[in-house]
Amino acid sequence: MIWRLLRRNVSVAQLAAYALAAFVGLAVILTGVQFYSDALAATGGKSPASLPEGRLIVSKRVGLSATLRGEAPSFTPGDIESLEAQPWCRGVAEFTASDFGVHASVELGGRVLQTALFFESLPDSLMSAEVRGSGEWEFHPESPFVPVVLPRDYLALYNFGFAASGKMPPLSEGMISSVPLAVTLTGNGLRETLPARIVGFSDGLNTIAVPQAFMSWASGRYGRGDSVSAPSRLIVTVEDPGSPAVTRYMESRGYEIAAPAADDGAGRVVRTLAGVVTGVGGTVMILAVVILVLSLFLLVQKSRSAISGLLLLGYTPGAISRGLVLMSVGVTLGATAAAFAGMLAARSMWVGTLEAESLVSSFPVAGFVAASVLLAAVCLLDAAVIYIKVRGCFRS
Amino acid sequence: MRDSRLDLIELRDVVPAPLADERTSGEVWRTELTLHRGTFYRIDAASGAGKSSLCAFLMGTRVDYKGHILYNNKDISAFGVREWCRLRERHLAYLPQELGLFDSLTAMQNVLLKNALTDYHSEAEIRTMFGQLGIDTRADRLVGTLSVGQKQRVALIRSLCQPFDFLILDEPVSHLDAESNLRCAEMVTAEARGREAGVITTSVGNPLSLADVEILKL
Repeated sequence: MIWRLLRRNVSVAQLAAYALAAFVGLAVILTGVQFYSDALAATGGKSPASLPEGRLIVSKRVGLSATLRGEAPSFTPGDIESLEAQPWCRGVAEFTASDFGVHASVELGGRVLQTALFFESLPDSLMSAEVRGSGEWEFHPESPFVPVVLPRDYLALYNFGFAASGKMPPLSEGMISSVPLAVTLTGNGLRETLPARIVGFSDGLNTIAVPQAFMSWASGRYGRGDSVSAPSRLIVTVEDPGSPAVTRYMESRGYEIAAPAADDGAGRVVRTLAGVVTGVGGTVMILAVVILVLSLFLLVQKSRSAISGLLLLGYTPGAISRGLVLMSVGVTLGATAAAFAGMLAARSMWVGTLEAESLVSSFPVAGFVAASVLLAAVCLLDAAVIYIKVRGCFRS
Repeated sequence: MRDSRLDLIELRDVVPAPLADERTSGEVWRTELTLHRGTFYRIDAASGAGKSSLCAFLMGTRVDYKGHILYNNKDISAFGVREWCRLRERHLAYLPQELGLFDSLTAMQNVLLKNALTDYHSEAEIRTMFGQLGIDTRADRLVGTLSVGQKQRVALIRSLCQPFDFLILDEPVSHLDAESNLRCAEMVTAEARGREAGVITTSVGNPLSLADVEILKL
C-alpha cells in the first residue's frame, strides 16, 4: 500500500532516460574493460620481466673514437666508484657480457632457424619477482638448461617486421615461450649444445639476459679468461629516477640512460584505447547515475507529504524506502543485463580468432566482474540516496 | 523505554519558540506539568495559542520549543528517528488537526495502512467501528470524496488501530454534530480505558464530549 502512495509520483520518462543512459554507459564500460582484458591475455598478459622501479641502465655514449679503436666504451673502476659516491645512488651492478661463442637454433614449422647470439647476465636480485619466483630462473651444471629473458621489442621486431615481410607466422609471447631452443656454446676448443627456453620478456632491459649462475659456469668453461674486462653497461639503483641531480650527473659525465620503457608499444596502444573507451563509458555512466539521483530527489520531494504522513503513522524510513529501492535496483539490473548482452555482441567481433588460439577464455570474466561491481555500487548508491532523502522528511 | 509503557509525560518550562518573547498565561506553557497515563486531559485554547504546536512537539514532528519535554524521565530531544517510529507505532496515537489521510486511498485502506503495522484490529472490527460512527457506507470510498466531518471520523478510527499509552487528538470533532461527537467520545473512552491509556485532546470551542476529564487552559 506504501508503494501505491509513492508510485503515483514516479516519472516513467525519467526512469526510461536513466535506463537508456545507464545501458549505454555500462555497455561502453564493459566493452572497454573486456577488450582490455582480452588484449592483455592475447599479448601474454605478463608484466615486464625485469627492472623494477628506480633502476637505470647506464652506458657511455658511443663516439667516433670508440668506433675507430674497435672497442665499446667501458666503465673504469674509477667511474664506478664515483657513481657509488653520489648521494642519490643506492647501488651499482654490472652487466656481465659473454666472452664465448653463442649460437641459438629453433625449429619452426619444419625449418631450422639459426643465429649467432650474445648473452649478458645481471645480478639475479635485479630481475623482477615474477621471473625469480617462477622457479625457472636457475641454472644447474648437472642438468644444464638455459632460461633466457628476451626484450619484448625483439619479438615485436620479428612479428611486425620480419614475419610480416617474410611470410613467417607471427608468434605470441605464450607461444614463443613454449618453443624449445637449442643453444650451442663454443670456446677453448669445446663445443656443447644445451636446451634453452624463453621464460620471460623484458621491457627496457635491452639485452638477452641469462642467470648469473649460468654465466659464471659458461665463462669458466668456454671463456677466454679475460672476462674481467671492464663492463660497458651498469645498472644503477637510484632513489628517484626523475630527480634532476641524477640527470645532471649523467649528462656531465657523458653517460646515457636507457630509459626503461614503461610499456611495450602495442600494449600501450591497446591500453590507451581501452582506457579512452572505458573513460567515455564511465562519463556516460556518471551522467546516468546523476539522472537517477536527481529523479529520485524529485520523486521524494514530490512525495514528501505522503512520506511525512507515513512516518507519522510509525512507518520507518527503511520500510518506506523499500519500494523505491526495489524499483531503482530493478531498473539498474535490467540496464546492466542489457549492457552485458551488448558487450557480448561487441566481443563476438574480436574474440573469434583469439578464442580459436585459446588465448582467451570463452566466458568474459573481466566484463562480468566489472558488471557486478558497477551494479552493486549503483544499487548501494541508490539505496543510500533514497534512504537519506526519505529520512530527511522526518522533520519539515 | 523499549517495550515498557509510557507512563509520564512531563513539560518543564516549555514554550514554543515563536511565543518565546510573548507573555503567556495558562497551565501549560512555562509551567511544570505532568501528564499521567490513564488520565484524560482536555486542553482549551484560543486559536494561535499553540495547541497544535504542543501536539507536534509531543509527536516529535517539531522541535522549535524552549524548555524540556520528558517521557518517563527521558528528554525527548535526544530521541532519534528509530525511537520516534517505535513510539508512534506502539505508544503514541495521534489524530492531527489536518488529519493526514491519503486522498488517493479509500477510507478503509487508510485505516488498514495504520493497522498493518501492529495488526491491532481485524478488518471486521474496523468495519464495526465505521458503523458505530455512522460512516460504514463510506468505508470503501476514496477519502478525497468524503466531507470533512466524515474524514475526521475516519482519522479517529485510524488513530485507534494501534496500541497506545497516550492518545493525542487535535480538535477531533470540530466538524461534527453533537450526536456524532458523543459517539466518538464513547468509542475513545472505551478504547483508551481498554488500554489503560491517557487521552490528550484539544479544543477551540467544540470539545470531544469526554467525561472525567481534567481541563487545562493553554
